Amino acid sequence: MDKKSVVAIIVLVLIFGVIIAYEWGGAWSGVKTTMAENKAISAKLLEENKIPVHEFLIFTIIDYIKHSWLCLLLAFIAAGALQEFAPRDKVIKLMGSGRGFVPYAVAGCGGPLLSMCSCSIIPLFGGLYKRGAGLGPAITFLLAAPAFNPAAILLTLGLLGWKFAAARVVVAIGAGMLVGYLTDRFFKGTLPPPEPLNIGQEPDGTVQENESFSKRVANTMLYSWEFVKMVLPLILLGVIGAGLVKAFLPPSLIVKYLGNGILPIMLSSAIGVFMYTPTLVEVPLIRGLLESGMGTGAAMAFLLTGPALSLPSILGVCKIVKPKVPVVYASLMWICGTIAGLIFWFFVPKF
Amino acid sequence: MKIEIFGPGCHRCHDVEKCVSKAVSESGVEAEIEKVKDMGKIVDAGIMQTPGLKINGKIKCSGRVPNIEEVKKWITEEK
Repeated sequence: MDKKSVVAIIVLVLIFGVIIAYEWGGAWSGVKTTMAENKAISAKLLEENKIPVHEFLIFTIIDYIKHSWLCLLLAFIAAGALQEFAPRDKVIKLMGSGRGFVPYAVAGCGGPLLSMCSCSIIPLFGGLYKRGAGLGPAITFLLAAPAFNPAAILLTLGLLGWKFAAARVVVAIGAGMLVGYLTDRFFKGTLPPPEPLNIGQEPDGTVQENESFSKRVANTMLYSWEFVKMVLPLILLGVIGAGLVKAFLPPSLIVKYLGNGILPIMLSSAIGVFMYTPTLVEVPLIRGLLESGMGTGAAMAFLLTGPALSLPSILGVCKIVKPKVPVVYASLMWICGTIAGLIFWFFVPKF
Repeated sequence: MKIEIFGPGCHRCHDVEKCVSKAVSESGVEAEIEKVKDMGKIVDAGIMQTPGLKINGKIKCSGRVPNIEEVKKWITEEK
């Protein structure tokens, strides 16, 4: 064992030790505020109108960190571990080989094994499609992977609660598989088969299986750190955005356009389809909107379509398949978002 | 020698760029480094997981950031 691995393992054990000690000791339980209390504090702060905006932003940041630090830490470690240990080449093979239901299921559930970084999804989509994985499973993967990765789910658990987290998993996989299948049926036989790739070489096994376990744990920590550097600034941006929403957008406006009811849900679903939301940023943003009066259905619709689709991703996909394909699956996804929002609103009417 | 780096321009792709340019200058070879950012071209090159690296048209790694020693080894292999 080299020095680096030992240090990495010690750090990992320490982190987990601290987490468990804190949770068992209940060190944070006295500090945590419930959503209702929190709403009252925000309202009071703004009503008195004596608190300057920057202090309000700091309050928001501290409040969000208090709710999510544990989940966030676990999310980063999970992301690093997946990057190092996930059998990505096997998942890719499995997705391209089977017929019928299997590739859809693999694409829907295996997404998080393949990609943590949303910018790396389009080449994977293109590669799957051109290697003959079929249009349907490739689209399923494209739509389900960003919404259903462990980091996003853990952060949702921390900031929005278990109902949102569970619903997100179910809805992301379900909608991904459904939209993938329907798009595949829609274009059956009308699209020319993709030009086969002529690279004369299989992608190499990029995972170094022969490395020792401790070295791989060290790699996990390095990948986690990479992920922290990449994502943490974006999350902070999302939290500041949430604070600004709470401070400046009048709740009446949010209730009117993003409150409860079918029209707000449709609108929120459509915004999600076009707006670019980097991974994990949607969670604090949605919490800010929920605290200001966004409906639960509208929030769920955005959580589904927001990370899965964006205008830049649609344009990127247009370079690989005919533009009518993204148009069809984006419309289907919008409908799915609306339906998912309505169902969630029915079961969870209040945040 | 022709070195191609594939990636839409995210954080990890920049790490590969830095690593490759360092390895090239340390090995003292003449290399033409090309950054491929176009999605269609990345897919056509057979790269499924970005960031990807090709030296003289051969895929050397994809889906991870290589370290300098690895890149130097590949450069000597292809010399």
